[in-house]
Amino acid sequence: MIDENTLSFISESREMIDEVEPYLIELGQSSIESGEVNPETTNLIFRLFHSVKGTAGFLGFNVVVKVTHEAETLLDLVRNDQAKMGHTNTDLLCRTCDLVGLLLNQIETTESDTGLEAEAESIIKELEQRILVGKGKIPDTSPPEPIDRKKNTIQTKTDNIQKENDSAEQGIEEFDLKMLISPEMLQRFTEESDEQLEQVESALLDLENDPEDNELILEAFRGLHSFKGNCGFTGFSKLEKLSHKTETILEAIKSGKAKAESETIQSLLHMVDVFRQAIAGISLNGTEEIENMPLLEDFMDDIIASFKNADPIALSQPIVEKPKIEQEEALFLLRKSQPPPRVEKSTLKTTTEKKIQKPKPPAQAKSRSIVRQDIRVDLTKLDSLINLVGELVIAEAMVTRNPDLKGYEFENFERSSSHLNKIVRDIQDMTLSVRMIPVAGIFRKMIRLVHDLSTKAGKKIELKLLGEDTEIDKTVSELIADPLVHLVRNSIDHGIEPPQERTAIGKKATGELLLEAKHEGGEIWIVISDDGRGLNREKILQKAFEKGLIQDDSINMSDQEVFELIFQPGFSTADKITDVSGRGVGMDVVKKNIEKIKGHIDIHSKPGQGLKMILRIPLTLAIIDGMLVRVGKAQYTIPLLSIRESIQVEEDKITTTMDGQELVQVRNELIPVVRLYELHNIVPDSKNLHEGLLVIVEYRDESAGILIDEIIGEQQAVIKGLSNYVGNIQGISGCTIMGDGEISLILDTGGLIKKAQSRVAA
Amino acid sequence: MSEEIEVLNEDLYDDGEDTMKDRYFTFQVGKEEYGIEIMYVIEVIGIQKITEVPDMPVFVKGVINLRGQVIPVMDVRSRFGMEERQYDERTCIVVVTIKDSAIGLLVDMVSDVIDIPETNVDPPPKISRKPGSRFIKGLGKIDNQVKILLDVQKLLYDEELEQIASVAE
Repeated sequence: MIDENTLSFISESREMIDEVEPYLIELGQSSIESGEVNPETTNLIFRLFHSVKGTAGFLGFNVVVKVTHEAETLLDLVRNDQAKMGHTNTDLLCRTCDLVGLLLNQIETTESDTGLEAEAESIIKELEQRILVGKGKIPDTSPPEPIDRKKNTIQTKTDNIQKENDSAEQGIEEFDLKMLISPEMLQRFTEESDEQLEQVESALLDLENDPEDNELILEAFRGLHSFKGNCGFTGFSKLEKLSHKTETILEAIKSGKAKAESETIQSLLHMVDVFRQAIAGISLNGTEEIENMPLLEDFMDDIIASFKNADPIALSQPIVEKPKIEQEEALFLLRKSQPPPRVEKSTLKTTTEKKIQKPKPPAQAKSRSIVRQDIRVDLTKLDSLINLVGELVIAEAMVTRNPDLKGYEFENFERSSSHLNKIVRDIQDMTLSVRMIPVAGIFRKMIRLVHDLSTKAGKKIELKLLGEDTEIDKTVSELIADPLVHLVRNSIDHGIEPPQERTAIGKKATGELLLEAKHEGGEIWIVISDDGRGLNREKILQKAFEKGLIQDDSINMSDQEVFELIFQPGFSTADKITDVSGRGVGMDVVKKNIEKIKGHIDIHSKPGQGLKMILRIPLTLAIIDGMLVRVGKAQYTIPLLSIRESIQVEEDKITTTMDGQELVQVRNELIPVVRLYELHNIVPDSKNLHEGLLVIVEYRDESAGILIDEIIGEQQAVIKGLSNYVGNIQGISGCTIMGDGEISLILDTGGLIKKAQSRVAA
Repeated sequence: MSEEIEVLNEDLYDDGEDTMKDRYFTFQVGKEEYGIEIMYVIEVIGIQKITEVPDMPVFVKGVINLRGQVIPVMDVRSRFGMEERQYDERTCIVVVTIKDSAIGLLVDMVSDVIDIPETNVDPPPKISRKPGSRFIKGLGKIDNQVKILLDVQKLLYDEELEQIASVAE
């Protein structure tokens, strides 16, 4: 009955709360015993609370949000050593966890977090009091009453609405839709709806830039109209009602009664989100559930009324609007986190497994350059398919090159086996490409985020996307989605200046935000750059010093080192803390996520000119073109991208320095020689430079000549990570399984150069 | 902290694997027979080509391709500090899984799957000169024979490897 977002919220939050408790206790104990708190643990607890709060906020569980927000604030004080993690605080936070647990139970049974206000209120009061104590304000027993009362009234108001909502839903449930509509119909309905909503959304977004374009209004209208029709036909009356109201608004715009102001479009976009969510709910459990239905209806009616009165701003509109925008923002974070649980679910529930969804249906809108037809497949199935294909290749080789055939000549057999060989290669190529998806998927989501955030912040921003068709592994794409949201948000929040400020210093009023994906020397680079303020070295240093992250003698730190500081947990140069940013959790999460996929972040910034962040992600599981080389018995794959040339060395071109480093003169350049066999402790065919081959590789500005025995050939290689057990090895980026089933290590040229250098230095 | 979690994991395993309780997979290394809890064992494969990986401790011989999965292989002999010997047709790779990663154990020869009730298991010897003794979990007595029961967790993750892991991270 509960929609999937809520369900995954409940289970995730439960896990987090379970996780928090032991940490809390540990923290309390260590604090009592030694008077010190472990910053790592505090951060961990903080993050967990933060995540619960974020999702709860999006789903509208306000009590949970309030409670976790207060807990978070208290923890922040603990982290900054302003509050002690004594008995009182530990106990209080543990009780907070208990309360959140109770609230989650409540949500699971009644779909709302109401009914425990008294408990919540008392905990919140206690927390607030502790926060005041921590801040050094008078620890009096009278907490700020007015704030409380205000929150209280808002609370009860939404509670009522939710209660109404509940009772309305119960009425619907009695009428069993499933009796009339077959699962196939439902499935088609959800698929089509997704497409239609996509169409509406893209038309609306374009419309905002070009409010006069009638064609776009018509397109949005058509999409919505078909959607409404489908809803009505399938019997989802609430959706039909809402979409009808939305349509009325569009109708008004179409007929010129109203203008396509950005505020109106904003509301329409919000409705699209509501529909989408409802559709997701339907596809999962077949029932239509819309949160805050009466509120939405009122909201729509108000807008329509405002058109009729020819009064552009309805009175109630701003009130309703405000929390909405925040919700929308939270939605982005949530959307990112959605796909993984969905996949998990499909492995658990056989009923949902059959469901085929089109997550990114083809869009007719002219701005969409990439047209895709997708089907959702369980990742584990895909992985086993890839493994099976690998086996197939090996089996094929075993048959066609069977030793029993030696000495015979079968003309027909030869012909069929070469045919088989070709097909197997094709299958292999095809399967390998299946796991790869273009970054367009995550890039596109930024359009909406940038749109919403810039509107909210009152800034004009032009978003440019480059290299959308760069393909990255599915898992990697999931892991970089969140960091990307954080970075884009930071650029908009802190980087790009408001229009007035920009024009004042001679920049274009419209800020520029660029997202680019590209392959770069065996890595994938995701570049996020803006032309805003850039990072303020002095401010960072000052903050870091205040927080005790650095010592006084930090003047000598390089820019890169200084910028790295922003990834420290709790670091924020923002002066005020809001719900969205400023606590310094974001960048910490960005770094953690990128490190998870063994990536790095480069920061380039010029004060006043902008900030450029490069997420450098290794090509785990990506396919590369590699050159297969042999050293003794070992076969290595060198990424073709990093190879400049291969040469045979003449003896008189070699210079040896006194520390034993050999240099080879290639044209006008002196290139250091890396003897791979020495680094890897293997026996080569020949140790003489002129008898082997030198593969000249480049990494950024450095180059080196790797000594090998023989080049075997070029091949496409699927990069596999070496086992976790083995860990990272400098100079090796992974391995690949070759056609004959053998494993070839893939050389990481950058790491190899470093390794060779450190060896010479030692 | 990490120790706590490991202990917790072990508890979980024990609870969930009632049917496999007290069952041991035994193999031979040198003259003695060793046993590991059966729940860790996934499969046994013959010796195959091992691709050497640089910068590994001596007892990690490299990686093998197990139907598309790349798994590291540990030579149990050299892990015990025994002298290495040529692999022959009896040499086997016992694939075990722990902490979600599969690892191959190179042993001289596999023996059997046997039940050793807890009551027949003696604690490890207190005085020992062999470097391998720290992997011993207990000594199982069965039909006048003694099987040395190994702690798989320690066998795979003790000391050196943890250092490697931490350097890598």
